[in-house]
Amino acid sequence: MEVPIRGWSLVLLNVFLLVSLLLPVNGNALNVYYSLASPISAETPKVILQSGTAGTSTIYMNNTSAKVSVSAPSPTYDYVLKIVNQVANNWKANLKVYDSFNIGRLSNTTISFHDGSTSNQIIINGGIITQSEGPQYDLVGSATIYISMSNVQASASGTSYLYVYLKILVPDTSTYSLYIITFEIT
Amino acid sequence: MKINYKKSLKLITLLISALLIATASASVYNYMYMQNSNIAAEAAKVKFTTTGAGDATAAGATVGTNGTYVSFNSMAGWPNSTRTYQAAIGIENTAASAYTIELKFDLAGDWSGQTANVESITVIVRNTAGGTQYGTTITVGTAGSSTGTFSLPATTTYVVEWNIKWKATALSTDKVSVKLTLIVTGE
Repeated sequence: MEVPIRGWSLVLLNVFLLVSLLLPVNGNALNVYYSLASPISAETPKVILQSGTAGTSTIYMNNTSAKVSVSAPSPTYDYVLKIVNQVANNWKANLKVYDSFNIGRLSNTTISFHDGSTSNQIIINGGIITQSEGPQYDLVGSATIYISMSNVQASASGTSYLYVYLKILVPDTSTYSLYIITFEIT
Repeated sequence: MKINYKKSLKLITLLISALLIATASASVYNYMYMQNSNIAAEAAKVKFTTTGAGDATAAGATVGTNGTYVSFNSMAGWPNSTRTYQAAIGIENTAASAYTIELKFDLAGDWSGQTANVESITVIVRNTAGGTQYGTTITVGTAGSSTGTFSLPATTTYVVEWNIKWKATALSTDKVSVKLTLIVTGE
């Protein structure tokens, strides 16, 4: 049986009316609450990055991100960056790899914190990142931590990149700031 | 031009009559009444809470009377870095049955200040600090951005995570205010 166009129009109109009229009837009891964050401030950084004395380091605007360039082979680059606590507050700091490129050519590389004692943060062995996140290290009030690279060895020529977060944690909370540090190893 | 006062008077009388007829065209009203004599102020079943929210103090969270409002007055970030408050506040279901909830950035006007200097502000609901995410990520500044609806189980608290990133060009005087809406479905 052939339905004329006018018939289809009526069917469509009825379906539309059914849906549009019935939906509002299907009501709910809603309770609406508000959450207001005011103000959310842009502060002067309390912890900053500064250039090291080994390799080549570039510090970006506001001293909250950096790039470090080193070449393999080298036994030690000490130090490639400084982490400077500009206030009396204590923090806990650690490094965490969030991305990488062409790591397979690196036979060894260790990135560490030191300021008297040493904390290995990132370890590459046999072209594999065997430790991608380091333990939390105390950055006490007005102190400086140094970042060094040791045992930098490559099995082939090329350029490798490690994209790393420096995590600065407020002790005994889960409030933290993330800085981006790029390690370039040629 | 000569004015015909007689005709003018007739015309004015006609207009007044028309006006009277129009206003006298009364409607018929039927009055009905709806009475509700017992609208109770109940304790909220779903509340904001600082209990179990480890970053509530750092974020400056203050929960209003009855737990249906929360304000944060000390959230901040450093330019070109991401500040995370993993558990800025908790959302607690105190009831014995689950509730459907939705957290949203509702309207474009729900934030103000130096918004052009904000790289991003996102908000995520998780079961614990750093734990499983429920719903989708809210992007502050995008009207209607929402977690979507999801179930908050009975006698359970989820936490709200804030991630704040100011642009590298942000000034230390820059500030923004953000309002989020929590919708709890059901009685």
